[in-house]
Amino acid sequence: MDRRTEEDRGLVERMRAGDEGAFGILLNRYQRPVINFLYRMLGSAEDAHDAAQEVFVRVYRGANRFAYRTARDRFSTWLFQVARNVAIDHLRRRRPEEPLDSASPADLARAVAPGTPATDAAAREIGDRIAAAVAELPEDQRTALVLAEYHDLPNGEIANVMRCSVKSVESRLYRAKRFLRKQLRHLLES
Amino acid sequence: MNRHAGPPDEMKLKRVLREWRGIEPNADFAARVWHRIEAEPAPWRWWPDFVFGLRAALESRTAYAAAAVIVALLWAATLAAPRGPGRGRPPAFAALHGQTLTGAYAGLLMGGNL
Repeated sequence: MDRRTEEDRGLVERMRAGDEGAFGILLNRYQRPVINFLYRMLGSAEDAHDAAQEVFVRVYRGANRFAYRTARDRFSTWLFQVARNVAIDHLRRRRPEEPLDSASPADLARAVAPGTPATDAAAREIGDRIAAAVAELPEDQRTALVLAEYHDLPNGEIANVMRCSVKSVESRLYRAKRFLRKQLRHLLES
Repeated sequence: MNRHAGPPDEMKLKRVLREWRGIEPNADFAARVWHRIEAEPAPWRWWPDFVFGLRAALESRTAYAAAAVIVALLWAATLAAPRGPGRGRPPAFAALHGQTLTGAYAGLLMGGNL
């Protein structure tokens, strides 16, 4: 068990015993990853902050539901499980989104060309284009992709978060990347 | 798309995906969480927290093992008890006898003198 996991374990035990300071430490430690996970799942900073608040409220109230059953169990796995559930709830409630404005493929390709500093506006456009492509993925593929590419979670850990087999994770990642290669081909060909 | 996309393809996709930058938490994020915890009443539940302990036990199969042991004991006691409950046996046999919820109740009524 690494040091962070061990520290988390101690903090969770303290939190379950009613120590608000321990919850405060976990909140500060994990707010950034949780907000960014939700930002990429929901595509909106405002929604991500709102959903992340809900995640931490659920964690605070549901601390007793989390039990370390094996030495490999991690607080972060449970946290991402809760975050995923909250993201699914938000996605269900959401109305269909307006299509994003898009720059021309040539502009986007120029903006990510090596050695060419992308302007802020172009970088935002690229971000929007990627966000739009990721938003088209089914929820399960999106979750697997976000955890793998933006949180560097190994497939085994993603399988724990998604409560599925490693093979399923690999399959979801493969399909997600195949779709994104097609959607983002103008950026990839630069 | 090529199913066997090689490492350069993987790296290229990874590099492009990283162009979608993350965001920083709002400065008052933690304060808002605390405010929400204090402002919103905890949802009322039909079940108390120990139910979650029970669920954990079920998931870890401890409860299944315990249930199997109890069933095995009851079954053994049923085999051991000859015909009528507790006949010629210590009261524990009657209490454990499979036929005798009524027998055990009657035993209790009689002050345990089966």
